[in-house]
Amino acid sequence: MSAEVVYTDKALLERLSRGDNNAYETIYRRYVYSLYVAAYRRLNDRQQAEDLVQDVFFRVWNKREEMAQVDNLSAYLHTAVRYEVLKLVTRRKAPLYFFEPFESMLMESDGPDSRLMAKELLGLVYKYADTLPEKRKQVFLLHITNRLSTREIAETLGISQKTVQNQLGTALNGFRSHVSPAIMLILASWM
Amino acid sequence: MLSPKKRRKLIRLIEKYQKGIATPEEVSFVEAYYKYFDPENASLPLLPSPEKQEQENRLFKDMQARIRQPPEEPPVVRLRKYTRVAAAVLLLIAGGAALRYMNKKKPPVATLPVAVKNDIAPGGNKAVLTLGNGSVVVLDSASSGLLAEQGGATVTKTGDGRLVYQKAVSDGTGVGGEPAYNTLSTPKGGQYRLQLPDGTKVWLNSASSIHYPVAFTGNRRQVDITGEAYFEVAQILSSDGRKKMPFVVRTDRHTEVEVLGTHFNIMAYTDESAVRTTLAEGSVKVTNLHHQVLLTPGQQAVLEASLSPIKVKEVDADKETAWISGFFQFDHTDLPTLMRQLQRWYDVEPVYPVKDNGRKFGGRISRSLPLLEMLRLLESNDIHFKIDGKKLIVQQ
Repeated sequence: MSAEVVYTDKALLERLSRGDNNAYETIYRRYVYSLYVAAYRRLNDRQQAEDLVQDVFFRVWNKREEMAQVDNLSAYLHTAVRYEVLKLVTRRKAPLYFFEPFESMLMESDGPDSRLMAKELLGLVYKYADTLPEKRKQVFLLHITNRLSTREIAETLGISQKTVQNQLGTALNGFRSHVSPAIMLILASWM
Repeated sequence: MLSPKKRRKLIRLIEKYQKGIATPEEVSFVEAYYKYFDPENASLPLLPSPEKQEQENRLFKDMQARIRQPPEEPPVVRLRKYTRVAAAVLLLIAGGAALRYMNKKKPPVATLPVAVKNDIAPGGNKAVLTLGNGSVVVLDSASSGLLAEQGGATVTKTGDGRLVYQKAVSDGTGVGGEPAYNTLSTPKGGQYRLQLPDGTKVWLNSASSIHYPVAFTGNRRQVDITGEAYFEVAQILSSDGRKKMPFVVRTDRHTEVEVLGTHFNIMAYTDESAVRTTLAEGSVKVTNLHHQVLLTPGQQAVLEASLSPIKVKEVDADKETAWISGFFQFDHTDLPTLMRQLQRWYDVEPVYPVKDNGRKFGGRISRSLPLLEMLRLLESNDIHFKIDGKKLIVQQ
């Protein structure tokens, strides 16, 4: 009996792109369950989650020739699942389950405490801003506290809008990992 | 219970995200919301491992079957998603008291009092294609492949009940003259899918037709339909490359729907009281001779006559377009409407009392069921049928 060889995703994708069904099976079995779980957590519906994952893998097979270019297979597949889940949502095919957390967030952000939360949120914003490099901090604060668009910030600071967009994106991503989605929703409603 | 309004708010945010027009905060929100469903320590298994293994094997086997041969069996692609769902419960409800009835479902009737010898099969992928030169091609489950080349476009029939138009490779631009028009029509008990040369996808329901050019030129794309069709309109630019090219659907009931790129259903059967346009995604403008309205997703425009104002109501777009997923969807549906749907799909001739006592039907039921099974679901609710040849008789 030969020892089991563990192929890297990269090596498997390389073989898959040449139509190797064994490579496909290995990839399939490696990821199917985690993708299913990701879909199931959002849809709370076994059948829909399974169908969605099957569609993703079906596309992987159909696009196998291009798959060799994928660098991070896990991220690629989970992004595909997210894309499909959100597509179900906007096509009105997702179960109500998906919307449930939104309800409580709206209550948090519209409720009587929202002014208080806004104040606390500003505290969080400043605290986080202090951890950023100077330029990024400026962009972030101008955007949130002065509510300037990326174009206005670009003009104010005399830098390109593209740079502003990049800096802001990075800052917001970092901020997001500090706070709950509800806070991001409040922030979105401010802008 | 989450209100539809709040749901729409979230859907709108996600739509902006998908289209790439969300603000950075909105992008962050959508991504955070999606992540919100992941538990902090993500190792929690959902299924015990023997079941997990079983699921993995079953799914992989299905996938192997699927990649070996393109799906042949489902009438429409989306049907596959529901084939394992048992036939949905169909409830007969009186005067709209749906919920009360749902709680006291009656056990299904064991024996079937329908007096028949032969069952009637459900509809399937059947249609007739009329080419520009007048020749007629019958489309059924028989062979697939290239059907015709005309006016700079090829038309191919796929194995899964679709017709696909593509620009011919040697398509010369600036060709004068009108492009050829084709007509695809479905009989009762038929349905078909079509991909137009611009990439727009059309689902054609039974007893319906669509008339379209084999190539779109000029400033707008225009097709004419009768009956019912669902569109997923592709966005393309007009021939000068400057503007998005509108897509217009006309019906024989003086209704026009104009869109840029969007998903919607239009139901214009002449035996129905109104033309109903339901928007699933994007936006559309619905006009008749004197009025026009703009719809947002989840809205339905109801046109009762070509001159009267257009009513707009909120609907569940998923329910209104259930047929493309292979389902009948009834929601406070009265007997005549229900019977008209059975008539179109099973090609039966319904006979029912003119004066019905106002009973309403609600529920979701697979269109792949033979008529007898469909009737059995109905009969568990105190309604009785008799099949006599092609006649479907509602017994008093």
